[in-house]
Amino acid sequence: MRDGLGDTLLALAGAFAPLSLLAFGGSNAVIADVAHQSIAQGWTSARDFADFFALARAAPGPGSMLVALVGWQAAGIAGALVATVSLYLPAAVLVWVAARIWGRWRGSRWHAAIERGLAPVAAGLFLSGGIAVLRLSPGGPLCGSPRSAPPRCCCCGRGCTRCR
Amino acid sequence: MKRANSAEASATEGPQAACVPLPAIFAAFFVIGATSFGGGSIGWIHREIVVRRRWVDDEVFLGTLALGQAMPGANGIKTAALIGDRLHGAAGAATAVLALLSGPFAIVLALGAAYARIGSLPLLHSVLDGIAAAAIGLTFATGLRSLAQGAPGPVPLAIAAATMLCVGILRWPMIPVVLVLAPVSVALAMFAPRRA
Repeated sequence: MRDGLGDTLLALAGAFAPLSLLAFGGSNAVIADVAHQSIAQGWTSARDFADFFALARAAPGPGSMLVALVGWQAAGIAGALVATVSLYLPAAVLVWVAARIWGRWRGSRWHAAIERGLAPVAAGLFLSGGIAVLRLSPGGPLCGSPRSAPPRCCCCGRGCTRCR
Repeated sequence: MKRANSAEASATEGPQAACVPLPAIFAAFFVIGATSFGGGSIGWIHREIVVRRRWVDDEVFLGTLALGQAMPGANGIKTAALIGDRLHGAAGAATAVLALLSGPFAIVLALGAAYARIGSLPLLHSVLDGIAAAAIGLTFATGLRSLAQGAPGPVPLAIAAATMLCVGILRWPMIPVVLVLAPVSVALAMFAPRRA
């Protein structure tokens, strides 16, 4: 049990900390990957993930705080803490370090290119997040319909009849 | 002393930052975090820190936003870290980030606990599905808006489409996709400079 918990915490940190450093455009850029990994790892079901997404959006703070709920379901309160710290701390430290060297590259050709080059990647990641959650939500065009139907749907992981 | 150096070293840092006590920083950012519904904490930070408390001026605030745009991470967190640093050095940065996150963290977990208790109610799922639908729409809108804001053109469109195809449709892991596409995109922006 103890080992199991430790392994899960490590897995959560290993999954979310790298995403933190690639969340260009804002932390919602990671939603798609968090969805794919959380379900593939069995940390949460598709049904719960879609609901967690909604809960986190209804609550104050970043929508990506849904990782706290994923971590909590995977490994209790420790999981929630590890998931949250993993998703937010690396990026916060990185920007803090960058601020210390800010004066040297502000307004440079590099800085402008980075901003312009990252914008479309961020846009693609946001759209991916929308697609990922749409797939997990019931009743959408990508999913088919009601959850009263038999479980184990190939595309949304839950009670769809139409998708195949 | 670090701060005094940087304040005089760089014109971008604006006027001398006050050394705001940590409890005051915590209180301010905690309130911002716990009330920033819809994730729009940047606007709240501006209102509370720049307009109401006048801890930093607009120039500093916009400077932190500009830096944040070139860096990964949640926008509110990045801004909190940078403004906290201005207000009380590294300890201020840590305090601001902790304060900004702790409210939403507790609230989200409380909602999760409530969800675990009454999660079997069909009505709850309907409510959450409605919220999710609205949030998904907003997510798409944000993606499209940030696409329109960057230099629109065939290359950025192709990069955005490739990102969406790989991560969103094919469900490839985000890390290798971004590690390949982001440098390519930045290089293209670098070598084909266009005024947006």
